[in-house]
Amino acid sequence: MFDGYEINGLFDEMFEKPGVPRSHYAGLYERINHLGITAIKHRSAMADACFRNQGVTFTVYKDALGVEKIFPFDVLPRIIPADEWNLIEKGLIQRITALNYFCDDIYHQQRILQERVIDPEMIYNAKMFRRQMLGINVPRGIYISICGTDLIRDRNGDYLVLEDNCRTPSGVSYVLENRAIMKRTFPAVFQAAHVRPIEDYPHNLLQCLRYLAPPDLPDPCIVVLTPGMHNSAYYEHSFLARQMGLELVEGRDLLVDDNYVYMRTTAGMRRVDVIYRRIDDDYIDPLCFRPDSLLGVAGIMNAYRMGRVALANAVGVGVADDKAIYPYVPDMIRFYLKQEPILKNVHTYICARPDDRRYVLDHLHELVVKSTNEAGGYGMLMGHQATEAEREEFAVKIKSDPRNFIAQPVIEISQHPSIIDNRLEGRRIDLRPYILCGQSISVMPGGLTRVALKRGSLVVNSSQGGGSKDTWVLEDQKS
Amino acid sequence: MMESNSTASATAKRRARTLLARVADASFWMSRYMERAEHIARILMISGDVLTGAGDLDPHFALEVAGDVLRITQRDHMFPTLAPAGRSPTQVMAAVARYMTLDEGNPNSLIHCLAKARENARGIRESISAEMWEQINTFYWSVKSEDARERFEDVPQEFYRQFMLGSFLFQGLTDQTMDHGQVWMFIQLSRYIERVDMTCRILTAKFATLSRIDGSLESSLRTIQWMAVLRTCCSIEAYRRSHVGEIEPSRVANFIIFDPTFPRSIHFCVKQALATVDQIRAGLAADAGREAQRRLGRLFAEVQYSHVTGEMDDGLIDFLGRTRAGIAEAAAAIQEQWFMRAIDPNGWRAWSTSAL
Repeated sequence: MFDGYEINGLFDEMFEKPGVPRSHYAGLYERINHLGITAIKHRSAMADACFRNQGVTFTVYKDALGVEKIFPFDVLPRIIPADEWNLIEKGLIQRITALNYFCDDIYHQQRILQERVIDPEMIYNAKMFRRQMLGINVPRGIYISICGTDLIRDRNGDYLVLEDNCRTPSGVSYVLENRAIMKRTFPAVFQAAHVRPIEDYPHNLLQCLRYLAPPDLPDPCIVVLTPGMHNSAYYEHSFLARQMGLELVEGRDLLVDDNYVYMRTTAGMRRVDVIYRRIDDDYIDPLCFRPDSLLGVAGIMNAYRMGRVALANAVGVGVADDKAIYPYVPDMIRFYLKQEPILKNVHTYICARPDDRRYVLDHLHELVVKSTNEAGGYGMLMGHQATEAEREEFAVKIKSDPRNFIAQPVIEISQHPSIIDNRLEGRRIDLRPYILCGQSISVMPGGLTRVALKRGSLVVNSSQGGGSKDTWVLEDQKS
Repeated sequence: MMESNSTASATAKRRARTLLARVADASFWMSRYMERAEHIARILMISGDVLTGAGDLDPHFALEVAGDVLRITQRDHMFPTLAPAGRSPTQVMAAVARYMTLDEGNPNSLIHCLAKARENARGIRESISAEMWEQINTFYWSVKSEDARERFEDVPQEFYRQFMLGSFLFQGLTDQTMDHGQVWMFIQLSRYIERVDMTCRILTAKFATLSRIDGSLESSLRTIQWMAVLRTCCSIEAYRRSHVGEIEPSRVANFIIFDPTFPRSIHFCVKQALATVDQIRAGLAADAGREAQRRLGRLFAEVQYSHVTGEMDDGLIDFLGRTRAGIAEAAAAIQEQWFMRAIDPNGWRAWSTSAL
């Protein structure tokens, strides 16, 4: 099975060196060898059929209507041992705590700017800084209820934070579906591994949302707001609504009257107290942000500012996951928590700083340049793979709008065996754990492991041909 | 509302989930399209069967059978395109069948109806059961698969059967896997409305065609044609059990329209639709739905106290036309009062304050 498997000089999640699996992979290694490629391929086909029939899909915007696609699923699970996970979990809790303090500070006293830890210019020029939120108190002071933080491992196997997704991180439905499929197709392998369960995520999410409702309300009305069926993550919106037993609403189902939000039902209007919104700030209220948005609800920002409806995540949190603000997160942790960051950042050059900019322009061929406001692997330059012309084009862009760009050294991220045709080959992976912040903070054990299925590719985004794996965090056997 | 009921209904109201108007709308259309596909599949199956099994049918009559399919589905403007001079009746029927099955540009083709049913289901999948969604989705992909055209050309009858069974399976799953709350009621309601509409259309087309040429048919062929009408309305076995003996037009009409207990009869469907509207209204505080109730009630009274006497006269065609108009008005009232009215922000305060 693993004959001819190459480690490619990278950090391999499964193998210490060729033919020698790491101890936490030993059981899986043995079982895979025992099953053989034919059986694995067969079960993999079963899994694909399940996804298609259940409509577990995402939409690729190719034409006006979009095409429903299955998120390619790689049946070989990624395994994280308990002690490694414990450290990740602590690091993530520390991070979301600091990010929440940061949002509260930015929209209130702005101590971090007054003390010049962050240059105020960086904040005021951030596209997702919302001056409409200045001085507004959000329910329970929680800005980021749900966060998906992307982690990678470098050549030494150290975990690094690549970015925080504080607005509407998606992918958690695939984590839950992947797990369900995995248990169905490889029950024996799964059971033998002692994997920590993740199935309580929808329940925990619901508790988080409930926590934002007015405390004296016995039965608050909580809804999930989706841009609609043609959105790429529609499946996830519907999945989460179903799992939590909440109504899935679109903008046209809601209206604001006398600064309260209502939904249109067959029995008339019903007050809505909490909205888990999967619509970006820009589209949520045509009266406040983009006037051409048909997806949002006119007047909802006023209701929100008056505290009559809670939104998760809060409006304006985009300022915390701006790629040019990301380099400051370690400073935020030191500033607000008086702690050293547990998880390290990737070293980042901020093109708005003259020194950094000069360095970036001189070293484009060895850097990854990212536009600060794009996601999904769009607006990126992989300097070492790009042509001279592409680098030139980016250099011009950087010079004309430096605030919009950051650059990072190319990280040779870790690889994991994937099933490619009829053999196993190493493919690059990352990890997106999901963090929930309510009465307490909880981190789902594991998260979404994305795989760059193209040989040699470093880009794992689903829109760029990425797939996913189930992620197994092992039970702590010591306790 | 009577005093004694108020506690019970208050409890029921608290337990009843509020239903988004958009979800009610989508569930209504999901079910309608599914029911429509089932009828069209059956029409195609029986028409194909009549043409292959009836021996040397008068070629003119054979063309009428193919034309009926288009008339029932209101695609008769396509007849010249699908039946150019020189095509044999068999070829015409094959062209009509192809057009009615896999042509995505035809709003009444099987594939289009199923795609619409699925699209509506996809928009409300958190409100229907996972089993229903999976069935409709799997069904859809099997019909969209690469070999679907081949399977259809190979054995069209099997393809139609798949649509009919798909609809039955969906109905069974609906009954057994989802809560019989408001969404379920809207699903029932639209199914009966669509069934009344389709049955009226089938009878109108068939009675018109058969009355035109009835005299020229020999008696064995006549019987077969009237049997085909019953089969198209999924009623042949029930008819045989209640009318031992000859199959003749006025009895066929009486059975399909007025039988009180057979679930395919117009009488039965209107009664069920009316009962479902009453049931939906009972769960809601507002006066919405009164217009739908009034129209269905009037239609039911007419169906309940009418009877076909003469043989295939214009009176029957008129009656079917009135029934179709009546059911269309009721559907419009449902749309207006439950799906649209909730969308008008000015109109809601007056009638929905009790639900706030």
